Amino acid sequence: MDAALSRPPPLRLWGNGVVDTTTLKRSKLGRAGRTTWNIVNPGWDPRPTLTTSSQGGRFDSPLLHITGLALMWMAVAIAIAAMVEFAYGDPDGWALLASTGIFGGAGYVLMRATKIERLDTAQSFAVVGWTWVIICLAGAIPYILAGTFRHWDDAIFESVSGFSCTGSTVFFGYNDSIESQGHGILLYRQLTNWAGGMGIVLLAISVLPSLGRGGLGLIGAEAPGPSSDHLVPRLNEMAKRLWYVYVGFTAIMAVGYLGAGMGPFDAIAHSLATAATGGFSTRNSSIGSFDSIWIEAAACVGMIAGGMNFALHYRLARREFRAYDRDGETRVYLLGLLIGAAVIVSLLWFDSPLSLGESARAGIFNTIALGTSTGFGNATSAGSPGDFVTWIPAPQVIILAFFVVGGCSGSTSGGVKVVRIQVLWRYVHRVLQRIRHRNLVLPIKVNGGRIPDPLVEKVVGFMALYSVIVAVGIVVVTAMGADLMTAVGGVVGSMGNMGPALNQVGPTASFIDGFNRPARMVLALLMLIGRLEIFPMLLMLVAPRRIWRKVRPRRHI
Amino acid sequence: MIEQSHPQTHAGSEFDLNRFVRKPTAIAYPLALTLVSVGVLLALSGIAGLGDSSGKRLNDGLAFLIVGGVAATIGLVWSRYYRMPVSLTSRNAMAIATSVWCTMIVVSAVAYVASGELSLSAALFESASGLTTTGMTALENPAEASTAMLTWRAVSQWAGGLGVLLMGFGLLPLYGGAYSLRAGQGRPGPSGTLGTKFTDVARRVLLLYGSFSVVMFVAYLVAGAGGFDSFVLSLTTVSTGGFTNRAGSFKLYDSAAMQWVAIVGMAVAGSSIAIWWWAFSGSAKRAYKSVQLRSYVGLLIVVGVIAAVVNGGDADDVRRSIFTVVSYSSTTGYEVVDAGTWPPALDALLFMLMVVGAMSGSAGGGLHISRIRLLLLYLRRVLYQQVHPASVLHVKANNKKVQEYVVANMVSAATLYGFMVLIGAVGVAAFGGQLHLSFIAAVSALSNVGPVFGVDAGAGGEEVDGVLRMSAPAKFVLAGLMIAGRLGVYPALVALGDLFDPVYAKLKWMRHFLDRRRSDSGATEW
Repeated sequence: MDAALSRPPPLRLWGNGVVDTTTLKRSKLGRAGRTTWNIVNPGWDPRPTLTTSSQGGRFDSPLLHITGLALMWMAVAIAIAAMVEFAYGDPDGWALLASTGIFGGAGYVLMRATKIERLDTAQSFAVVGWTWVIICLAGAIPYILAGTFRHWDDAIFESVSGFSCTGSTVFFGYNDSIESQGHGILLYRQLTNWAGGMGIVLLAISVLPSLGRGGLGLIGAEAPGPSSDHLVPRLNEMAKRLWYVYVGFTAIMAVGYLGAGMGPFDAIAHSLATAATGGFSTRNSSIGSFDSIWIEAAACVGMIAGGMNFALHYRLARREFRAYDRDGETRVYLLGLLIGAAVIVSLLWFDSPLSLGESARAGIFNTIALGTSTGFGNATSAGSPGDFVTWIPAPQVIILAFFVVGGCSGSTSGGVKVVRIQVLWRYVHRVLQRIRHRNLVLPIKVNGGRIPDPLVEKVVGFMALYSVIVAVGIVVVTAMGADLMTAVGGVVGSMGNMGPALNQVGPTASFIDGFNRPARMVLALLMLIGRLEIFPMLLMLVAPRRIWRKVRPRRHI
Repeated sequence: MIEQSHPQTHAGSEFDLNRFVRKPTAIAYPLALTLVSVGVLLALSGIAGLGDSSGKRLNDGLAFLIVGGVAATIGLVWSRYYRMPVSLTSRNAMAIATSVWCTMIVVSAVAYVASGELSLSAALFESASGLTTTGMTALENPAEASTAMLTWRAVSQWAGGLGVLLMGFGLLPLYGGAYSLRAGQGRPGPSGTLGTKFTDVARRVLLLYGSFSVVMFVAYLVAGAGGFDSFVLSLTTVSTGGFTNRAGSFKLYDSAAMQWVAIVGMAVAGSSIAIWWWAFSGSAKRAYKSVQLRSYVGLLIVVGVIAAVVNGGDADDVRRSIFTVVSYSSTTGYEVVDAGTWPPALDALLFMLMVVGAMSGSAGGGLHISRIRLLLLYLRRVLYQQVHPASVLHVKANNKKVQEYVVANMVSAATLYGFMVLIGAVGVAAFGGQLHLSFIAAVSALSNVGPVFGVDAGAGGEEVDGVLRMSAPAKFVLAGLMIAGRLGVYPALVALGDLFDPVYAKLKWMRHFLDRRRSDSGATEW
């Protein structure tokens, strides 16, 4: 076929600079052997044009298509885990193999049966939200088949905690310790962390040919933070490159851990969780079980890098060595970690019985682990210096603030992201300045770029929604019987994808200790809401309604 | 040379008042008036205490009388040298609000220290708690305090409540702090004010507030409280203050009649005074239709029913549950039970009630119902605009469009509230507070509620008022939060900003470091 004909003709300008947005659709209605272009959508309709996966099927459903792709990627991950399980001679290899079959089969059927025709803003929220929900639920299947947990909902909790990069665990509550699990299951657990870190939708669309503007909506809905940094013009290319950076970073971390003295399996497993700022570990007492200052140092470096914008790492790989220095968000992030660590260490040293060495080691590690939303712990046992729930109260309050902030936008970390705090601060500052100078017009600039007001509104609204959801979450979780401070820590920590929380669910405890079964499900939901940054999880409920019914636009709220 | 710079003065003449009358500074005259009124009220409280028999108690009355007299005299003399400002900018209005409260607190603290009963930190804390109508107390057992002290504690709360209403209806419209009170430049605000002239407003506020106090006094008398108790309770009820004459707040007034009187009184005190003005001035329908009033009543009923059902028990227990909910929601802060012994979910609800606070236009604190309502509408709009990015929508209240800058004010006020809770909690915890108590105390102080519920682990599990055990610096932090919360955060910050402008300019190098522009490679695309 003629290459020139398989591409739609360029947009034409009609007099007065009006852009003709008429959508042209390829059809085979004309003469045999020739493709003709028919006008199928005349008039003003700014919806993005048709895109199709090369393997597309019959039904138009971007949601199921992308879910199918994501399931197939997860099948690859579980297959690797199954091989590891067999290689180590651990008992659950067949369960993992069966899960591989389920994931691969279901994914293949879904992908072949569907295609992507139209993808607008509302749909991209629905795609991201529902895909994550389905993947998180399906992610419990390997645990259930292997009989890892006593209850099915514990499997779901662990799966959600993994994919959302939270790192809260229900192991070692009434279950066995983490160490007694098979290597394959442990690797699968780390891989859920790793897949969720960069984003499974991003992974899925990296193999799709092109998604146009709707694809950008997908990335915007899934990627942490409000900005979308275009590395390259084509979205699938961008997704691929981000994943290359991610894989490279993970490999470097694995080498680093090996060099610091970990075994090969532990090194790989921990590098997966570090790059994802997830926080799952193969040991009960996390990094603390190695009790090595070198491993802790390697983890700190990895966690800080994992909390930075991955576009910057990409720029570094492109030999733009000043990329980090030029980024205002990164500077504030590093400064915040520095100040936070300094304050926490000095409070610990002056006000509590810990020595300077102990407070420095415990303070710096935990500041970084919680300031990047990773959630590794360096407590060797309950009550040791690294067990931050046994600290004096003041540093714990500061840590709770870190729970909220999290890392940078475009990173794998959780929380509301540093740039949102920056925008919010400038917003409040503008209101205060406007009181003093009534007619002041002050654009909000972060990082040298002016932020358009709709985006500012979105950021501010996000922060407000975040606090409302936290408040509701605390009431609901306490109503299910949790202690007040445990609930505050658990809810804020789950929303920020931290891992360990305050009071009864500290770094040496399991979430079973502080929360009952329904409360843990609420926390799992909050983890998903926090990871997807609220909007997809709320709007995935309205988007289908909007697709099925013609909803008249509102005139006022 | 000096004479030339003052052309209106006659060089070399004898004493000339004009020489000392500077241009009408915005702050000076209101401050002088504040000194006079606080001084007079303080002196009156001192006189009320002169009837006490024992020497030590008599001492209090004398100290209050002297400090009050001196303050009033200074104010009176000072006011002769300044004129009332003709017009105010919003910055001036905020500076006035901030400095008026600081002055009142300082005068009151001086009186407490002069009486010899309280240390400096306790005196400042008690003054701030009184004049901001918070109701945290540094007195172990108020029943042992002198009559003068008890009277002044109640009167200071009453004066604080009156000041808030005057500020809300007289000054706030100048900077549009609370949308419902805003009266633009000489035109009536969206949901009505008490008038457009400050004198009208002041007269009406005094009338409503005063008659409400009298009604409450009579009601407490009829319900069986003694004369002095009725006096103190009525003053602290109408101002949503929360001081009482006994240790353990309202727990020792264990009479059903008194508690029901207090419940109704607190609920009314937490509602907007504008509503009552409408109700009594012939537009009852407008009051009835107020969305804010409906939200407030609805909130009270829903949370009250939840608390009553969850706690269960007999009629007395139900009454106590309702009492507690109304007390927290109106930010009065009377306690009849220790809420720390309630189920954690109810504690969490009470915590939220403290954040939400009373209606705007009342003497109550917190973020105010109207702001919370706007915030929820704002959130709904944000959500809607994610699906329809090009939509242009207005937030509405009482069927009228709310200006965008008012919405922005409201959102950032809520943000600042959150920041201040965090900073306050760090401050209280850093000076020895328990983890959960420091959060609750910060919110309680910022919303001007008062009680700090929860078991203090340091007290070995026994029920001790969390505030009493706090260190002096922690009390300073709480006092600061009370003032910031009372003024609605903005005035305090703007006044501070004016104060620290030169310092801020010096700090520009730091902003330069944080906000440095990129020279090449373009800014981040948004």
